[in-house]
Amino acid sequence: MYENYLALIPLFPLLAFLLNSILIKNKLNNVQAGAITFVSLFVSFILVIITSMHVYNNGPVNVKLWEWMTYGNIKFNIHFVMDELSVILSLMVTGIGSAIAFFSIGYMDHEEKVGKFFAFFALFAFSMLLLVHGENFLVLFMGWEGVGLSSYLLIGFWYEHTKNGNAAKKAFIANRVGDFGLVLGMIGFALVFNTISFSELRTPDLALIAANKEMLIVSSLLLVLGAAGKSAQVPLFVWLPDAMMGPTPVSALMHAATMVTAGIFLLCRVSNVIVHFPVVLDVIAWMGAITALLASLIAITQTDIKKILAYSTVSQLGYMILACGVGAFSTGLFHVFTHAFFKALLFLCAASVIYGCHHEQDIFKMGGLKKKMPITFWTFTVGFLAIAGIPGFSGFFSKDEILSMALTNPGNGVWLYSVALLTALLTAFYMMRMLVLVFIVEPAHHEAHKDEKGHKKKHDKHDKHDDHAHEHHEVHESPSVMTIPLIILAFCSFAAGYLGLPHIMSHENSRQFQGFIEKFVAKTAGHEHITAQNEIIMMIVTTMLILCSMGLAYYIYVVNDHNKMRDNLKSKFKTLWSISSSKFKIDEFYELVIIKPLYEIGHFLVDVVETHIVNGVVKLVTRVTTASGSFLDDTKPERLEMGILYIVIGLTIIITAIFNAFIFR
Amino acid sequence: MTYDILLTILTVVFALMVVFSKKTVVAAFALLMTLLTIAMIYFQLGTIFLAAIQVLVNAGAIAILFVFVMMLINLEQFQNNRERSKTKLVVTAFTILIILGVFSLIVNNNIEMLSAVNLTDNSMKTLFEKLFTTYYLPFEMATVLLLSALVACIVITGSEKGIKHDQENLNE
Amino acid sequence: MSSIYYYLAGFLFTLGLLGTIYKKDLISILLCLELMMGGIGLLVILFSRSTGLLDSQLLVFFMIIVSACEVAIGLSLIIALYRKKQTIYTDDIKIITE
Repeated sequence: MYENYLALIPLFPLLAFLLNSILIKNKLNNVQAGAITFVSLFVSFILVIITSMHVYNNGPVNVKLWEWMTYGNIKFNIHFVMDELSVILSLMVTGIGSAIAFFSIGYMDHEEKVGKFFAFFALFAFSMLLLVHGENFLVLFMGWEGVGLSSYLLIGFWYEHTKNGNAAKKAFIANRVGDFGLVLGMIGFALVFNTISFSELRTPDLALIAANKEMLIVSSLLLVLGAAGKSAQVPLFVWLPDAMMGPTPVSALMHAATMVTAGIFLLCRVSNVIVHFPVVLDVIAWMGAITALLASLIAITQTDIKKILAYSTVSQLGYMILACGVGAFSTGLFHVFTHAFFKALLFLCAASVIYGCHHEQDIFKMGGLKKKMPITFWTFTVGFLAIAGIPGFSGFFSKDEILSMALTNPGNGVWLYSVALLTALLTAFYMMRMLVLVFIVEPAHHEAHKDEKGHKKKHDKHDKHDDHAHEHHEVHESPSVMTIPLIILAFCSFAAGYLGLPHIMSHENSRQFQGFIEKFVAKTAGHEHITAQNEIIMMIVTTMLILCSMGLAYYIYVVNDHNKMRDNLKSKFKTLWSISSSKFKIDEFYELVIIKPLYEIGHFLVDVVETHIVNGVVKLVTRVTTASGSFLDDTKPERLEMGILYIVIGLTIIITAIFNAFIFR
Repeated sequence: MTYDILLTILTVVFALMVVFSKKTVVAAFALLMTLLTIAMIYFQLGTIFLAAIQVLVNAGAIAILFVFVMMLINLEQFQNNRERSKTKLVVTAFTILIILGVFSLIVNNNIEMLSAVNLTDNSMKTLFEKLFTTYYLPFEMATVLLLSALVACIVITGSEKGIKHDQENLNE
Repeated sequence: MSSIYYYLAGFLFTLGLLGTIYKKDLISILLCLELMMGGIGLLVILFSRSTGLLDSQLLVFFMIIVSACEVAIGLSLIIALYRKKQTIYTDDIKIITE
């Protein structure tokens, strides 16, 4: 029975996709199209809950749908599994997915083409569920490509503007580079272990691992490349900020909660193999650490509300990858879990703000929304406290555990810990900055305008015109269809942390989450044990530092006449500020080193190779044919009868030759 | 034995008349006689069915058709005939001789095999059995071919317009 | 001694060939074509007799039918050509080389 439920879980979003696609011509409005997607996701969510309770008690559920082909010993089947790892991600995808689908019904009410939006949304949900429930690399890869495709379709949803199309293209291409790594890594694993099934890779053969060390190290590094592509790590993170060109609910779902965690999910799936290779783990850890730091440094100076959240996502993903890199896979997955809730919440609050401000996205133009959008403000605060790591909220538990795991990593633990701590402080800083600038501080134009209004009462029309330009009608709170998911997600981001309490806080219920996950992934081993005292000291110190960082942000942006202090600092640290706000010039670097040479090669091939060489060959063939034709034309007999004679002579020679060959063999 | 040589000489005479006569009508009649003598040869060889077919179709239809067409195109005006140059004749005859030589070379090498005479008695019955079972498809296709040749002739020789135009020319 | 018929067949064939090359007006060419066909038919009959297979006789049967069709169409082509060009000499007809 549970097998049937498992098989149905990805089916409902697929049905929603097909239904929405078929009904596009009926021009459904946002409520109808959104209801289809929401209901399907909600039904899948209920099925996931039922099945996961069964899995919690009884162990994994498998269902093999179709045997496709066999290559030697390697079986390529369409095989779904619900094991401990899939439970977590599946709950996240369907739960947060249904909340965001519900939210989007309200957000997209002024849009056309909503049917298409919800169809792509359902397609994304279907692909993500395939990815999560894949029992072997094949189904995972199918889901992987499917989410890449849906990401492309949804980022470039407003494709009439070329910038959006370019952003979608960038996302897809960066993902593709990762896929290259994924496929090659898959092949490496398949060749060594003679299987592509994750159930069999759960308990790998140690002799095989020892025998094929080099090959497995290379394959694991390629899989890490794949994870880096999907989870926006250092070489390939350039697509995630640009992906903010899509509709905000899309960013909330994909680029915060689910799709970008697919890379970490992949690493956890093969965790039992890669723990045996410290080289690979080091690469992963440093990649995560550098990404986290880099992204937070960039986020400090961004002005677009969604870009700040995007870089924050990259940074938090760096945290998760760092956790995987020090061998604490379950901790990384715990951070995935909590991060999903609060990041989705933050993005949806941003969506609510954007909707309320009539699609204004620059935080320096917003302000003072605390009074006008109270529900959004309070839910945003919950999310902010979670991401900053204030005790009591979910982010605290997961982040703290990552920090302690990083510190106790044998070898380079101290460096990783310091990078991670610095990132945590920067995160608190820029999130506070965002909170203050969006909600608390009155906007600059508004204040200046107030002054003007006081002095220049004569120019009423002028004032009204400015009024219209600055106020954009009235900023209002979002409708309840949008605030209900916010409240739900706020509650979850508060409560989700309590699943993974550290030992010192409660002895019986501690680390429930991690224990559950570690039935599948590799156990966290090789770390020294921190005494309870040291752990409490660490927690207190970290919290103090975070509060200081938050206070600093508050001081810079609120207490002093807000922009003066900021402008002072900006002029003092001018070079640093420009490096940070221009995103460390990474995009330009890629443009120069990779994209431009490719274009040059392309132009060269077209202009030189194609026009001269290829066309030359074709022309040569035609010239030879016509020349031989005209040559033969000159030797053609004028008279009919001579032609016949020539035919007869030729035929005789040929037939004589053949005949003689037959006779005188 | 003598019949062989007699028939051979007859056929050769008529064939030479076909090729080397100056008037075309004479050539047509000589062709008729050639075909008839060939039919006699078929008769002598025992394939009586084919002898009959040869007389009926080849001699009786084709050669007569030639004579009709000669009437249609008003052949008298062409009878002060142009001839080829002698050198061309010599060159052509030489070439033909070479071909003939090659042919006889082949025949001479296999003449023993080819001289056997074995023909069963009820050859007609077996012949027709073969015609209507094994070679039934070519038989039917020959029917279709004749029909299509008929239609083709009518189409090529033109419609009423062409005929009227021709008659008007003649009247003028 | 009926092996002399082989030589006869060859002679008829080559004579017909000579005629097709030698003659100038189209009808004579067709006449010589018919002569060639006669020679071929004779040859095939001789082969039938020597190998004992009756299938060759049927081959000649079909060959005669086909040659009848061919002559019919050839003659109608000559008539059409005559109507157009008012000549039946191959020297005067230079349609292809134009």
